[in-house]
Amino acid sequence: MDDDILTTLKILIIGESGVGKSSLLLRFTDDLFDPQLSATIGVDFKVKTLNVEGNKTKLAIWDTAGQERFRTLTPSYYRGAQGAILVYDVSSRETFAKLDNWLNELETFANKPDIVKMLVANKIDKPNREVTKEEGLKFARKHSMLFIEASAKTKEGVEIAFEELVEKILQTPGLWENRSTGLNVTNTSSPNQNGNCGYC
Amino acid sequence: MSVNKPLETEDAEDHEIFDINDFTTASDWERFVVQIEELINEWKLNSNISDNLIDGDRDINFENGEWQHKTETLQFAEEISFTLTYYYLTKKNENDKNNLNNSKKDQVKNISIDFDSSTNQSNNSQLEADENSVNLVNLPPKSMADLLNKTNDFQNVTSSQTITPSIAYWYGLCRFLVISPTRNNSFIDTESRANVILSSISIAINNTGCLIPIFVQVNSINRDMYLGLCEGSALKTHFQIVHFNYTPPQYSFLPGLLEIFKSKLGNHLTNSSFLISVSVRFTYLIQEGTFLDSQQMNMKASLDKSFQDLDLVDDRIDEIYPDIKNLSFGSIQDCVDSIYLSCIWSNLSEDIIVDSESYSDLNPQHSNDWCITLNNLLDKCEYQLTSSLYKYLDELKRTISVSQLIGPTGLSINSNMDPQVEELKNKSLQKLTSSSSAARRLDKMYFVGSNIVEKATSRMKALNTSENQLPIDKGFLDFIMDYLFPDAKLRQSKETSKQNKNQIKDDLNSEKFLKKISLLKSSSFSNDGLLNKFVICLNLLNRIGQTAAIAQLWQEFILELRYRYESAIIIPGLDNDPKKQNQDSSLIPPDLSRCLLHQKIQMLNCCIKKKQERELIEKESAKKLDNEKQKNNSDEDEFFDCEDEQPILPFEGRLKKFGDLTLLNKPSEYIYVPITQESTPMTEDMLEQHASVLVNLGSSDDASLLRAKIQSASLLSDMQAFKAANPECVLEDFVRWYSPRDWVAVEEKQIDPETNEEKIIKKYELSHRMKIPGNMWVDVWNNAKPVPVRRQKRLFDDTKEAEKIFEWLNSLSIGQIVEQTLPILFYSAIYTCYEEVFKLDLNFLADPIIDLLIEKTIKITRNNETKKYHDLVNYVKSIEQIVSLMKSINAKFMNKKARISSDEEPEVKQFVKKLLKHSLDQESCELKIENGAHGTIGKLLSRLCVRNKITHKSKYNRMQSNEYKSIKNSIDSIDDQDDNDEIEEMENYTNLLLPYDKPFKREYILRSSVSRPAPYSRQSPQRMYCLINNLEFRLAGAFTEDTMFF
Ligand SMILES: Nc1nc2c(ncn2[C@@H]2O[C@H](COP(=O)(O)OP(=O)(O)OP(=O)(O)O)[C@@H](O)[C@H]2O)c(=O)[nH]1
Ligand SMILES: [Mg+2]
Repeated sequence: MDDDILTTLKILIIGESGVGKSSLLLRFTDDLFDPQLSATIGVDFKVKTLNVEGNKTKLAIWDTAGQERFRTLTPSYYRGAQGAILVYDVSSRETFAKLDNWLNELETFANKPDIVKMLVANKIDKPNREVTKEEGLKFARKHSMLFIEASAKTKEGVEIAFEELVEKILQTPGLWENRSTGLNVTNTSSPNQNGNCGYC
Repeated sequence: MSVNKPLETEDAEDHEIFDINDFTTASDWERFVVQIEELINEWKLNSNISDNLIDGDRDINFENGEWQHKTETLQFAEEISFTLTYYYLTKKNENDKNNLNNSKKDQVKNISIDFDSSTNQSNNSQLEADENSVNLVNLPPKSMADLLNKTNDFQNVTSSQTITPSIAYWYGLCRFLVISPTRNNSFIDTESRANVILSSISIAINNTGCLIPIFVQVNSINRDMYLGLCEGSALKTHFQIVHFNYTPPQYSFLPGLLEIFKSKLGNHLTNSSFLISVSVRFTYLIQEGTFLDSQQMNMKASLDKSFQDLDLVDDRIDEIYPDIKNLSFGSIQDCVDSIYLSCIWSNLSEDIIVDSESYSDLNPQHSNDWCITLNNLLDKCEYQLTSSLYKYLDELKRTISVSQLIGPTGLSINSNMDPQVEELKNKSLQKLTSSSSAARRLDKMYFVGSNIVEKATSRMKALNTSENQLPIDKGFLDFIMDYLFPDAKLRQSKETSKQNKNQIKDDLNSEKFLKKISLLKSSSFSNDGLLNKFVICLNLLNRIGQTAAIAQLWQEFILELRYRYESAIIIPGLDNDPKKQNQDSSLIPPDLSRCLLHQKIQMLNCCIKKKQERELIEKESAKKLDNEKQKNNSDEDEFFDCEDEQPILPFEGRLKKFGDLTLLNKPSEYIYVPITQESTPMTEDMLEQHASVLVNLGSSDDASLLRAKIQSASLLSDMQAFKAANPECVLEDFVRWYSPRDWVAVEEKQIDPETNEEKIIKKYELSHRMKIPGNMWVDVWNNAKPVPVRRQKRLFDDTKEAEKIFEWLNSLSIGQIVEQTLPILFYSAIYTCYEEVFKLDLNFLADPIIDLLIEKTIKITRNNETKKYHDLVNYVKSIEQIVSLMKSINAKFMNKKARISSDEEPEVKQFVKKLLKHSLDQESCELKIENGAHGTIGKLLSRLCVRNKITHKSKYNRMQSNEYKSIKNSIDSIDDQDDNDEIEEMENYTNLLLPYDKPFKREYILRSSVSRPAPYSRQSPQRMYCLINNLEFRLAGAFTEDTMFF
């Protein structure tokens, strides 16, 4: 059934709470902006198939909670990710300042050293901007990341952000050779509903 | 064939043979000649002009060039084949073909022959005259000129370490062709056959006009004998070789050799009519190779150290057992095989030097042209770390479980054992004594009894059959366990002080290294964590023992862990951050950036910690209950006194004030941060299971909701705890603590009722998303009752989790144990490599390898690519080679004997490093010594060799008298300052260099320009190379004669 799919990629979205990670993802997968979205609890994920230069690519995108208390768990979902989207909110300098922590976390927990990183400056529709585009660019260059300014609300930059990221991943040799890498957890049989996870 | 009877090459000079013209009957032979000619044409060696053009660049010499060759097969008759090989020099790194084409452009410029400029002036001038009068074709071929060129004398290897072909070495030729019989073909073992081939060559040369010498290999191949011919400009050079495996006494020194040379040139010459120039190289053996293979080495080691008797006194215990703290590193053998020193005297006049049996003018101390040759054994040596890693990796294939192999800790052995088990068991050496040593030690230490462990040990006692077969004896096992768990040892203080030996200094490079290596998915960040130590021991046991030893230590280790869990004693040495370790209050969840085994043990610690807390609380509440009972009995009526007062809302489970924020609904009350349930610690395999549960829900909106619900357990727990700690609180209070970014400022215009001015007031409220009715957060909040953590349902069940971990640990097969410990072992291996490299200051050479190794290991450890560990060992081996070789070289040149002054040190170090670098590239490397005897290195060598002459003698004394005292005296008389050193170093005999009193090998090059065969012939180059050592005697002559004026 998935025969025409070139590969499955695992992509992470990380960043401080409230920067608009879930909104960006929703905009990308459903082309919606839902102000009713509640703060993410733990992790969530969505799937979308993308066509990049004739190659059908299945994306499993993991959306993580930015809240401090959920942080101890989220890194476990970093394993196997080929791409990571780091989001900050241009109307909040604090979310920009925390980016270093997120990069550190990526470096420690992602098991692919050449994981492709993209920096997304979200909420550019807002009037009270605190972080300039230049600052964002500079940071991205310093850490060899892709960079784009976007708004989940107005749709600007969202789709292209994901497309660029996927294209870059496909160009990186050795990052995606296996069709099943992105979602290898799905392959584990028989979900053990009662017990193994603490939250069950 | 007659190998022993050397081919009398002089006979080959029999000229008649070249005048044979009748080959009508030999069509095979004719075809053979044609093949040669074809190849000469194909390789463009045919024309006269090409001679000076092919290696037109005259700057190429043996030192700066690089040797290339091409080979084709020739067929003689049907069944006999030969190879024709063309050897030529090219410029380093340059494609020879390009070179060939490019050089054709500037023809004339290159044609100037350096026809021996230094020795024979008259000769020179005549040639110059020739050059001016005769046209280009009549110049002698370059190859003939090369015979007299001195730049290539005694140049064994080029600077890029390609080896000079022996023909080139003897004759100074920059290019030549060789016809050799193919393997198993001893066709040219008689003179007549040699002459047949030589005739073919002569014909081919005449037909093609080839100016390059052509050789034919004669006699058995290993004797390296050739006949050769070169023709051009009406000159003809014959190349001949004499080879004996003994040295005729009359020819063993210069006078005898000169005699041969002169007689070859012709008797018509008087001594005064020409000059013979002599270049000499003497080679001294200054270090003899003493290679022992690993078996011999082991025998020596077992003689040196005996691990047999293990019931020795405690104090010396460290010395009885092998080193369990470090990975053994480096080669057991000396990596340096032999060292030669060569001294060259060039361009001497034959009549001014004396060289004879009894006296020689040729004193190394007077030569400015020194060269050291070092032969290494890098490929033969056995490297301890490398081989132990390979051996460990070998165990990966074992699917046998620990209990199958050595019997379970508690249960009776499986009666139907497969042959593999049987075999492994039979290999086991010694028995483990009856009880678990770890348990006994801990009992002593903590006075805590443990039912389980006691049960286990008593059951093991009953199991006498398997005891007899356990490989590690009790003493050694105790020793290891004491080392792994120093906190259980009574002599605690002594042990801890011993351990702090961090050899890596805090310099910039090391910092970088530590940062890089910390990205490995391994155990502790330093090399002395519990698991690092444990794995180093496993590796050692596997190296010296067998598989069963791994099983036994593993079992003992689990037993210790089990004991610690039962007795609620934290497992030490897991978290290298000392600050964290002291923070007793918090529980450290498994670090997901570490390897699974590390995570599991960390998890176990979480369980232990939880258990401690639980037991503490139980104890306290029991006490409280007692107290309360007493209270209730005595002051029963007190309770009713406060009945009318406003009830004070009870709060529970407060941790600390949250800044100075107060409750929104009750500003008199501060907000308190509650004691929360630690987020459930999870290891990565648990998380993966958890994730798969989440993923399997699908990707619909409902699924998202369900996922959020599943994951909201900890949110609920936190909310309940918050409510308990802050009675009368609202969601807003909670959000301010829990998700401050959802507590947003809103600016509001307000009209001041008094001044009627518009003011902007900042108000705070919940963010939009938190306000939406029915969102998950509100839902959970509304469902949360005030329940302090201690009365909440435990999210983390330590008993269950601990049992799961033990189950996992016990379930591992030997192969799986190895697999789980590999990341840690390779961390330690890399760490050890770096330490060794750092100690010897070899970072400049080894760092690139280490970096690559780390990079690869990071990938492998993070992706669990167990199969790829094998590839890493080669990197480790390279580093072991570098370090071992450096150690060997240092031992030779930088020992105490060298007395290197601080002025000399930089140069000596540089020299030693250069030697190392070259040695790594080449099994036998040659290195020029600047200024020969008069340079710093020359002086150092002289010092080392001379000094050792003395120690040599004293060693001899010792052997003779066999009495310690006499050596001591003899040494005292030589050097009374450091007689201790002398003795010490004498033991370590391989560190000494031998004196260079007798050359090991002598080489002479005699040359001249002489009119041959008649006095009126043109002068032409003559040369003879001579080699004399105790294995062989070789003369390689090249004699030219005029074919125009004879
Ligand atoms: N103006 C504007 N608001 C946005 C934009 N993207 C998100 N928001 C709003 O920002 C708030 C937070 O958005 P979320 O997508 O829930 O943020 P998040 O990063 O997923 O937050 P956590 O799940 O807590 O980590 C919501 O109220 C969104 O409506 C945007 O591009 N422009
Ligand atoms: Mg979200």
